Amino acid sequence: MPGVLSWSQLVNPSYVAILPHLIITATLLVVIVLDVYFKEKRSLVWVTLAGVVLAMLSIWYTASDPKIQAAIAGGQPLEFWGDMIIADGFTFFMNGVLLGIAALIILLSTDYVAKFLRGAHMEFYEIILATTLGMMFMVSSRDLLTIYIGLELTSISSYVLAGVLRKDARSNEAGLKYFLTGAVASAVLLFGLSLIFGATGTTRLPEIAAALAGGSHVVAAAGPALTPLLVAGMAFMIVGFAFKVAAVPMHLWAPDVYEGAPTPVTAFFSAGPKGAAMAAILRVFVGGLGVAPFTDKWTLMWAAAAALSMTIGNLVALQQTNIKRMMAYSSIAQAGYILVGVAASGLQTAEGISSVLFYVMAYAVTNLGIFAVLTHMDQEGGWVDVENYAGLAKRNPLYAWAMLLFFVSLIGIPPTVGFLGKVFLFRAASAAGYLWLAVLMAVNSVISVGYYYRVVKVMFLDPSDYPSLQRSSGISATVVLSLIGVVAFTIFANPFVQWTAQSAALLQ
Amino acid sequence: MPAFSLNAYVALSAVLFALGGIGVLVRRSPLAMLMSIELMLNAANLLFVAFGRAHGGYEGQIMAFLVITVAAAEVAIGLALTVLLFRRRPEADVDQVNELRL
Repeated sequence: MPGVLSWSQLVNPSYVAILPHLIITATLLVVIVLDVYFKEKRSLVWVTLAGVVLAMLSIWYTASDPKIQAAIAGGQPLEFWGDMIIADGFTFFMNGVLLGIAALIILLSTDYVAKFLRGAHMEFYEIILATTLGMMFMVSSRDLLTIYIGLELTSISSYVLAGVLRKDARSNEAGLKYFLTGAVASAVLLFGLSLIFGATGTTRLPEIAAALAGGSHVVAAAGPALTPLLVAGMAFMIVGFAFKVAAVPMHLWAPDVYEGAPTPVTAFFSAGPKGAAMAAILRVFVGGLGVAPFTDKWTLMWAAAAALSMTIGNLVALQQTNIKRMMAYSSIAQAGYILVGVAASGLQTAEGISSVLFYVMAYAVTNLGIFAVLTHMDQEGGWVDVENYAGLAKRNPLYAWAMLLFFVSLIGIPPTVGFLGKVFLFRAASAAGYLWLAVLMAVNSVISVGYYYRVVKVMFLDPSDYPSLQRSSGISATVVLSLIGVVAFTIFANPFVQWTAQSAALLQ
Repeated sequence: MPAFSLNAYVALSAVLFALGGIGVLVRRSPLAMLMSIELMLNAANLLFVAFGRAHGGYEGQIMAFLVITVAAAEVAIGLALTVLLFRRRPEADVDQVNELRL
């Protein structure tokens, strides 16, 4: 219809594509400015939360943009800003998950921050927003440059978060340890990127894949061959990414940082940066290095990391008395489960990727529920040992029963969302020919019953003379939201499975 | 100026990277470790610039500039954390920082 412009014709789709990122950036800036003028910090926390929720809603607006939608339907998702940002289903799904994680973290940390971070009340939320922004850029690009910048924004903000309790020696130590090890891992990753760039002559992942397949001027002469440069680059990148997801053998930082960091921050680390790094691994390895002779190499390396992470994580978790440390090893084991899907995605692309996406979502919502309870126990009496949880069933029945359900889901007992996630991983791994890995995952799930059961036994059976817990509305809300999430993802799993499958199809 | 072959740049950057890595493992002062990490980052930068020149185009040089910026941000945070920790203890040695079990 000439003469009549619709709204979508007026707005440049480049801005629509990064609308969630822009909203988070705007919220960050607004909160920094308002922080100067407002004495009442608690109301500012709601501004932060509103910004995150608005960004989540804006994903829906971005996804329903006619141009973007048509491009996705045509199998060639649009890329914006000099091909630095891609608007595909994978981006939308991961951004939704990451923003959901940020929203739950903001909700569960309200009372903790008000109590322990008086001098830096809003700084905590500002850095959470900055980290979220970094994670969002990390998952929304098909260019190594943007992925690296996003990863560094995530990491550098994480170092600050780990050491945010300025007067607490353990928090300081966690910050410095995380920084020193994390910076080395980033340097190793960057060196790997530079080698891949050297071998292929580009930082764009689809072009890297084309170059490896022999379609580009650089590698064309040699054909699809494993040059030392490429193998070294691949190995360096695996080491760097393994650190970011806390997979064995690059996991040693995790227990110390998880124990020393403030509990809401530990909750954030266990879900957010880990999930974003998993998504980046899928983008880089499946999207860039998923070419015949290379796929076998990196799937094998990730399979080995998965096997080691599951086994070592679960076995060491059995011996922990500090619950934050126990959950650190538990999250190492969970990273191992997710890596099973990563290894499978090299050979069974669609199934592997969708199983990873589903498990990341299921794991995040379950783990945040557990950490909400952990945060409450920590802020109320500094209770961080398993024995402090004695009689929790009487002190706060909601928490105890919710924890029970979350543990059941993490173990993977039917009918929970964790069970569904593990079934998908199992199916993808066995279809890809990694039956031994799938069986090892099942064995490890049985081992993990040991330490989760210990907490359940203490909560329900041990007598205690601890007082009952005070109310904390933010944490109760998080626990209830996580419960709803776990139940909803279980009962209404189908739309999410289809959604992950669609997202996976676009990555190829 | 004599033109060096690409191999020479790759070799130099591998040596720099290894030196940085050894530095991180051997030195116990957080400041020295920070400098070693910088060496590792700059080894990668050198590779980006050398490969960028060999391939033509600007991608390698753009990447190098961005890495320099990121490294500056990283150092700022690292120094802040170091200052924070060693304000309470004069000796700057990471082996003394063992509040958390390893």
